[in-house]
Amino acid sequence: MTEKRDALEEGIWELCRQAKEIEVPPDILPSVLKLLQTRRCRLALGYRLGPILSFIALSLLFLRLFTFSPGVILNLVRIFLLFLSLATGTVFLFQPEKMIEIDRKILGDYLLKFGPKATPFQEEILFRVQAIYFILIGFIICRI
Amino acid sequence: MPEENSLVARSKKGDLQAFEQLIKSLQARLYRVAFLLSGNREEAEDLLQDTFLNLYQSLPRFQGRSMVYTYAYRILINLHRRRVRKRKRVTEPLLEDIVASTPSGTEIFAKQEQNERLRVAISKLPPLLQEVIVLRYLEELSYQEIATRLGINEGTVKSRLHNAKRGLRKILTKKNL
Repeated sequence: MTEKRDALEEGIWELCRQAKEIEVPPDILPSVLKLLQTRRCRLALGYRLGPILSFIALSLLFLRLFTFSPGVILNLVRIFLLFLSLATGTVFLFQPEKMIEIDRKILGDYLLKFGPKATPFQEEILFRVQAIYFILIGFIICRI
Repeated sequence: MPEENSLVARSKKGDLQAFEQLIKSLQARLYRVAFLLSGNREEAEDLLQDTFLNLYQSLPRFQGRSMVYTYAYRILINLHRRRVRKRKRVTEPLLEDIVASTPSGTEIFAKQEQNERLRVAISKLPPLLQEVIVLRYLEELSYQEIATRLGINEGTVKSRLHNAKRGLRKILTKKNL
């Protein structure tokens, strides 16, 4: 039993010795950074344009569904509220991290005392779900 | 550690220079683990590259409860497992094929064969047991150091190592490797 264990351990040491002799290829770091840079450029464009394009698309779609009321002021208020809920919805949907930041600032004292209850991933999901809620409010405003 | 924290904070904000510094400090250790698990340079390079890309993406979720190395190490292990699983689905395991077809006439080949078998067995261990094998034999840490690194007690380290070796023996005999 002891002999078997020793042979196994010896084998593991041998494998690790081989792995330790390996030199890191010098081209890994530059290729990772290049990939990240390209990806970041693409993401940055999507990140900037995503909310704007969705806001425009949703506004056009919802304005087509808009049922006008008899009063002009009421219509203006409704259109303002519609744009507000769509803008909030698209920001929540595409840039939840901004809302997370604001939320954390508001809850600053509480977080200092008790620490965060949700993981950043859970926070993101929460804000994205809220985005759907805001877009639905926009839809309801259209159909009142 | 404070320097690492500031690099992480800057990387989270998208500072690629900080991220470069951060991965420079991790790459040698992670590359050795990748090589130990995959068994060849090309795959180890691929694995390391994917690990860094994943690390950059998931860094905003990193809360600093462990060292960045531990976090990156877990990404690497998960990626390796996913690759092995994928490969198994497409074809029979590549390493095992190579091992099976390796001529065993000479002592050198026999040794290589033995190493490959052991490598396959290590990569089949559960992540928790793999981790202690890496820390003990590759990084040559003492039980005490492993315990501090993993935030567990020395007894748990010893029992995990014992279980890892028992697991390896089981895999090696079960698969007749």
